[in-house]
Amino acid sequence: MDLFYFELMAAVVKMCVILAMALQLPPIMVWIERRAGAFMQRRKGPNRVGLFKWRLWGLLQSLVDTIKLIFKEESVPEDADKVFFHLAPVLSLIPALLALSALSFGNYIILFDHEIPLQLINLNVGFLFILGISGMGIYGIVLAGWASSNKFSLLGSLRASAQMVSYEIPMGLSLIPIVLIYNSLELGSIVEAQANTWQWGIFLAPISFFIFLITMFAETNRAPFDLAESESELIAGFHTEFGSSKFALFYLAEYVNMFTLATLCSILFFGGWQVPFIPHLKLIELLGSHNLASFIGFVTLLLKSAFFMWLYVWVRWTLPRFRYDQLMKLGWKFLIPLSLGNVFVTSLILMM
Amino acid sequence: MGEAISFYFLASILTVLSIAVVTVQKPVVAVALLVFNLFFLAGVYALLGAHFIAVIQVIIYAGAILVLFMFVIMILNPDMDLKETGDKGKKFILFSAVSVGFLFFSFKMFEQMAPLTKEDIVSEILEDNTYEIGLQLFEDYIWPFELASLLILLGIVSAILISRKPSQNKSV
Repeated sequence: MDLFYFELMAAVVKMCVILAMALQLPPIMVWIERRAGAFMQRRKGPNRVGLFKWRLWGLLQSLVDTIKLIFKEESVPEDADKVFFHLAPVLSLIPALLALSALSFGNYIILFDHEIPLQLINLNVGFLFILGISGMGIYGIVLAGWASSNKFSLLGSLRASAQMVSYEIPMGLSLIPIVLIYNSLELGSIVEAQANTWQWGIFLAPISFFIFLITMFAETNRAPFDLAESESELIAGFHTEFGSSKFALFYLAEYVNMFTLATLCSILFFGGWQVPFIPHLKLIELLGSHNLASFIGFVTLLLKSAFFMWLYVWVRWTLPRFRYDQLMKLGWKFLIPLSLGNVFVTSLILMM
Repeated sequence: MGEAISFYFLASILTVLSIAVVTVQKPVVAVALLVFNLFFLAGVYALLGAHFIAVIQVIIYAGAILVLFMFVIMILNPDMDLKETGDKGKKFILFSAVSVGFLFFSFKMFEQMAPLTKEDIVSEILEDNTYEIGLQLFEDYIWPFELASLLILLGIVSAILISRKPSQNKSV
């Protein structure tokens, strides 16, 4: 087979897998979120919708919800800027999906004597690409708030964008020690450098992890930083006017962004597709199969990011919301100086 | 071949967007189009193999600076009634004269140039150019680089000094 067509086909298959993963996320996560919230508040949560006589713990609730969302009536405010009102949900979803393409989901697998890396595009700028592209997601939110010509929406979108721009700085700075330690920006080689479990990012750069974890919540506008959509003040923030499938797109974008950052966190700080205490090369030896080892690595990475997805839910139902000035103070007066100091100390230690 | 197609695709989008930025009536729309413009410009950099510059372009210009632009425009909410003033006939003549002159000069310029290829612009395409940029910045050009950062710091501090009200307000 021609190499070009082979690679093209591999890329298309990878795109489909990534897209399927992204589309699967919100239904499952919504169900988990509602059930977990109910569990933490000693309620039952959605536990009824099932198939015939099997209830399946209410798992099919999300399916029903999705159908409801799609068939709902769509309303466009009269004063809305029509073009951007329709464009805004798309603009927030596209960067979210694009960012997934640079994640390293596993080592390469061998098919028909060709090495296929489990990563859609391998850029030498690595996670900078992910940070940059997911930063573009702000425009979807900002334009959504502006286009719906609603004061609540505008306030919500202004809050969201100010918050995301401010927290992008400590997030970027918190990743510099990782670059310094592993000498690379590429996600694949960072994971390879974490073969030894005691050399995971969390052990070598714990302060970076701490900062990254906080900014992770702020960047995705999740509780306790969900001031952009704080329902007690702003109705629903930037997506007040958006209904039916447009709202579903925003929801999808939010969950995809969460997944991207959760996966990035497990790649940079928790060894990515390295199985704990078994380096990947040893795993290949043990199993005697390259593809099987890569598959196990892939599942390991998914489990790790599943943990962080759970953490999002956990924190959301546990902590109360910040006040806006507290949020800004935390960002500018605590996290940025801390991350700058972290960069300084890490580079000093590495110099010695 | 694929490179040329991608370039002309990006270049045509860029041209249309650039014209749209200066002709649309609403300031917010203009900024939004400028964002797309800078995003596609990053695509041109990526085509040249300068992935680092492309990503930095997206992070800094498209991702940060223009958000602030949009922020200010949204808060100020300037009046949309931008009425055209002046003689339309005169403007049309001026516009056509400038565009004809521009076209003439650009044709004259392109006549003398051989068709450019990627190799003409980028003398040597390095595989890991992010690494190379790091080496250049922190080994060969460390002093200019540090001086530039000092200049930026000075700019920030002076902006704060200028914008700060010389009052006895101690709460901020």
